[in-house]
Amino acid sequence: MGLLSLLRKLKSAPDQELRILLLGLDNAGKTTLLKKLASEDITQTTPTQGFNIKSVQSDGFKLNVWDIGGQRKIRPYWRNYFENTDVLIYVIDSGDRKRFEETGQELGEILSEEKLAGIPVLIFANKQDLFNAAPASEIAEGLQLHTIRDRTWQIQACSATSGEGVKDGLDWVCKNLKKK
Amino acid sequence: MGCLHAKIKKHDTEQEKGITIEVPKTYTWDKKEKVNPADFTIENISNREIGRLPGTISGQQFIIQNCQASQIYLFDHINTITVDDCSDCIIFVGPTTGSLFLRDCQDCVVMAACGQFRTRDCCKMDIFLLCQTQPIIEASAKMRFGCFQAFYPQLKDQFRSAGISVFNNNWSNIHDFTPVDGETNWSCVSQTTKLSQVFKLPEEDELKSVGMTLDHNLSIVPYTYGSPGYGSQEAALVIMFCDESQHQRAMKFISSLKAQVVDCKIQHSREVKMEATDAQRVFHTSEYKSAISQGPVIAFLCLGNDITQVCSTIGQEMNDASGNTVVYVTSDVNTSNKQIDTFFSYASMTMTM
Repeated sequence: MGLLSLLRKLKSAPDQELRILLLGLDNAGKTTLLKKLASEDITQTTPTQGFNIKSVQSDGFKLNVWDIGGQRKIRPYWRNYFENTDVLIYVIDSGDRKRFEETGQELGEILSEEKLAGIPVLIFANKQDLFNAAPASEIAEGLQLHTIRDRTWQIQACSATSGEGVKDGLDWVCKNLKKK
Repeated sequence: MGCLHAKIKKHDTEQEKGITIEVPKTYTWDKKEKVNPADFTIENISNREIGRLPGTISGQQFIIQNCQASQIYLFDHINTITVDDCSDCIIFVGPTTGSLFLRDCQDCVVMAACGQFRTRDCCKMDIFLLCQTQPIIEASAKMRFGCFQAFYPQLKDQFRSAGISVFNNNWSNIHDFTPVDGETNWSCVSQTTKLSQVFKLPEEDELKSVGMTLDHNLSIVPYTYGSPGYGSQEAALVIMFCDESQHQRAMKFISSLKAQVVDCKIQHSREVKMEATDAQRVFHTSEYKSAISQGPVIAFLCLGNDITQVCSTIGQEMNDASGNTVVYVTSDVNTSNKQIDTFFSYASMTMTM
């Protein structure tokens, strides 16, 4: 640890607590990502029936990450978790080309929600390790992310199972939280 | 210090020029060798028999889509697999580390071993399953579930490569996201005969030569009866502690048991990691604290006449042979049901995330 960051750490108040919402279609890898963020074992991850929550310390923040089940039937309940969200993380299975349209529609609906207006959004193009994975750039284009004007956004390629790219996404989240 | 100095200097010059240089990061997948998608995709076939031989998938993702009235056999371990828009097919899916996701399929017979099992918009499916976690269905009807039963010489190693435990099987405990009042979207078949009636083995020479059989006595995955509960039958909980012979011992236990109690049933089979406090709750003693710290335990719920007596004898023989406590059997018929409930509620709790 450098001297400067050490001083900064000593000076800073207790960790600022923030709420992060993890959404995306079923089988996108949200729970695996959550476990990876919390440095937990990812083997034997169960399909989420309700929600999972974990606290993650990162960069002087205490991030309370909410991972909500993504089956079609329970997506109407996502809105129950919108209140007081500081950052939205949307997870996409980059190898599930059959449902790109479906995931785009869901994202579109979330971004038009009043309660989430202006909230920074990080899109994880997950499962990049799969042969069929679309590159993050292709997904960004397909989802027309460049048309998002009312908030900061970022797309990050990752593999939640290997952990690659996850930290880069989290760094972006923390960087944006500091700007607040 | 030199590095810091250099950095500042560089920063200054960049600022002077008014540009920022952002080097795009390269990831493993940017450099990975491109595979031929056709090697890992089976699509748009009808009335055909097709498959992949051992060693040809080797833990890759696999895709099956838009197939009709065909037999598809994937005799290898797989990373993750989606099966979309198939009807009237017979599908074998080798040990799959992650999820098996069936969508928009009907009238298929699927035998698969996987980490996660998911369906959406499926109808009239027979699923013979080994699943490490609770299987889930959504908007699916007339789904019938049974236990995975298969053998071919490479299968055991493929389970190991996929990181899938043959002992941790939750095939009969389905979660339905879309239950319908007055209807049951799914049911269990607890008959070993059912499988051979509906599942067709390969006929084409190359796939046939793999030597797949459905004989539940040879199956790499122990046959379990699954839900419902054990009712009025005598039940015993057998727990095998972790050491290098644990898996062989578990298989040997089953064969000894079957030899001695012809009509015995293994209701459930689990492999779970236990913590000291959980062990205390199940065993009512801290005696097994070090045994459970060695690694996950394998547990069988066995049913049958005098099952406690027979299991205890086999367990004792195994403990004597190894000179260590390697097997625990609930010995008191009066308290065993309580212990069984405590253990399985613990085992399902480990599966909540």
